Amino acid sequence: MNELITKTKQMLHDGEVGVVIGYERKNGRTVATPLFARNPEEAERLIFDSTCHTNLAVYLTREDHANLGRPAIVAKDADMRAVIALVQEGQVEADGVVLLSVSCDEMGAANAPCRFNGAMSVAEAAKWLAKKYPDKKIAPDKMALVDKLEAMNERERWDFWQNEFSRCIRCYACRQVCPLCYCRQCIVEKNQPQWVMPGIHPAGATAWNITRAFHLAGRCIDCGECERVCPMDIPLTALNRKLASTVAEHFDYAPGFDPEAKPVMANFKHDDKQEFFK
Amino acid sequence: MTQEKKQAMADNFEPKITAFVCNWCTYAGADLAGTTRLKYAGNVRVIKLPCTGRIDFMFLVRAFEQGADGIMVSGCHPGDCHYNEGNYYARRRWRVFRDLLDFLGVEHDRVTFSWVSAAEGNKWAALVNEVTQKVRALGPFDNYKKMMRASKFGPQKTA
Repeated sequence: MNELITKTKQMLHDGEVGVVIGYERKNGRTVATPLFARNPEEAERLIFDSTCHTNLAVYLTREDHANLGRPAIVAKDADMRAVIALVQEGQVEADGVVLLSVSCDEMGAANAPCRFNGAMSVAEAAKWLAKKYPDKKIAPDKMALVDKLEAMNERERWDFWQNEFSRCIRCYACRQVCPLCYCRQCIVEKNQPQWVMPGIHPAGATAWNITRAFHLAGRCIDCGECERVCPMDIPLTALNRKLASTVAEHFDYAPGFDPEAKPVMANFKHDDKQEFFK
Repeated sequence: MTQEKKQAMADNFEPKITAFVCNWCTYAGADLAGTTRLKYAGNVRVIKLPCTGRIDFMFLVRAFEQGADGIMVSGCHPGDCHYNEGNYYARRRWRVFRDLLDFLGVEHDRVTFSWVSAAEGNKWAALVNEVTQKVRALGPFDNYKKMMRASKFGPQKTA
């Protein structure tokens, strides 16, 4: 990752960016820790390997990082999609961020080959992604659980999800780690009225998981962080991927590819199909 | 409870249906059904909102939490929206939400979406009858009711 460090140091030195958001290895932790490098010396600590899971785009909408200057962000493919999705939703200025594109052949695998693909603007990243993922579809192997559940009947599906949700401890780690969950006040924290019941019980857990999944409908860029951080191993990505496939099927849309595209749920066509309306 | 008693209760089951309707079309349509003295199933509880675009999916979740066996969502026909395009956004939203409910194991027939204009009092009356029939056939929404009972604090009253 020497190229990454060289490039970052030069960018910080030239004042092109104020901060580089990347990863470092801290205290021998197995998962890399986010690093905010504000000068070339701090950039020496940058790493990128198969343990760099965190989707760093989550920091772009945090107010407390806004005064660090224009950010450059180390981003895997899904993380680049997250930044583009944030641009689409007007949360990040397209020219307000530099993407340091990286990729890893197999996340989580020891010594998996990793690459630095160069610094990109949002527009360049969009082009790069379009070339790499021409059909914008979720890989079939990632849809395995969705397909399995769709083959079940309603009763079985209900029991499956109730069993999964019954473990939810409402820690909201899935929300905290999600770059698209940027609301300053989440609906679960609103209590007049209380839409989602707090506390650990099935009704609240079900309402929360419905809310989380639906608020990400047509917005989730499938980085899978929610499921990775879930301490109770709830297969959250299955919900997200199901809705992503619905949106792709009916509205021919995938978020995080085109910074100019209007978000799918904030848009409509006069001839959207409506066979389920009586 | 004896088997006969259970059967008797199932036979007498009257579904509770919550209808979220828009102010400008379906509510007026339901009103027309009333003023023309149409007789239809009394299982429906109508909640009036400004527009189908104003109907948040959380309303549906809350209705189920509070014991609804079925839900209706109804508003102006496409092109007729009082706010020009509210129902177009709603149409997208419900397409996706409907798929989510199905994926979570809620039967499609529990939630019915429709366009009922201010002139369609007959359509409204017929639709309520149809939905009531369908939900009666599905039976009480035991899945949700069981889940609510298992929740320590039970169904929560809205402020």
